[in-house]
Amino acid sequence: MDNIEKLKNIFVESLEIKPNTVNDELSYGSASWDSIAHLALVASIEMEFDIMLSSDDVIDMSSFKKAKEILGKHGIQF
Amino acid sequence: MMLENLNIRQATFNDIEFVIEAIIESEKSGSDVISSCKIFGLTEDKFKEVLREVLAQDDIEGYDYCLSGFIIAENNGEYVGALGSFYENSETPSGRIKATILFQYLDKSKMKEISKNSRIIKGITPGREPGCLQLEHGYVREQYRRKGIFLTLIKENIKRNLGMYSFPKVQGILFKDNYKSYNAHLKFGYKVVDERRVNDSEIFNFFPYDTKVLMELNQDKFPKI
Repeated sequence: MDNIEKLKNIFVESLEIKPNTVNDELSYGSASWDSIAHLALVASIEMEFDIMLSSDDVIDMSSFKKAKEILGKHGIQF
Repeated sequence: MMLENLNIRQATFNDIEFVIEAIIESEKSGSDVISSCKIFGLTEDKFKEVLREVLAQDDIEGYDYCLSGFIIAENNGEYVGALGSFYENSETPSGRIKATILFQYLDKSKMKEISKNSRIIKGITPGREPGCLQLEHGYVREQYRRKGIFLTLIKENIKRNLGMYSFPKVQGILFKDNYKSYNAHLKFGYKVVDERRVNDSEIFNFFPYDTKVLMELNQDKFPKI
């Protein structure tokens, strides 16, 4: 599974949404992406990609697009 | 009758233990259920420990565990009540700030469980409107209730924030069945603008009630500075 599919799966499972709703426009506050889902989401990202997110990364992760950018800083290629 | 020596002031680091009492009692909303403990799988002592660390760290504004957002009511040096406030920012919503702060303190091995819990409770909390002042964690100790202190705290908190920000409305999220708090808000002039109910009995594993309301106070009801 490539990184984009891996990230999409994390969003699908953490937010309990359909795969076709995961796109760059998906942002915090939409679907079921609330504060508690955000916790679960960032924890899954850390675990699946084996990285350690900083507080700035966690607070800045405001959309699927932004998540890709943040992971890019950690050397994850999409 | 109002207390003669009632003093209202901003919370300081010395008030952290009482602010923790206020947060926990307001979460309980007259019940024995501390929602955060249930959702995050924490004991009450562990939750207090987390709150102690969060409230003592650099004051991060824009969410409900910000110490400088709390005002304290005291009478002859004794704690009477507290009420927190924060300004809901459109760029960084309070929920994302709270998640970021809590992420530093929660046990990451419990995140799968927290994720499952989030599926049950999603939908019960109405969204806050950016640009509005939010009042949260209102609490008055039992022996000082029915003396108008909660309403005084609301009034004082709005006045103090009007000196710092401009906002068209004040909002608060509370359980509809927490009658005392709900009626106090109505008495002050708040109106219900959103109501969310979860029709799943599992909700009671996390919250004392199944319905939350977003209440609003419009500018024309603000106290005069």
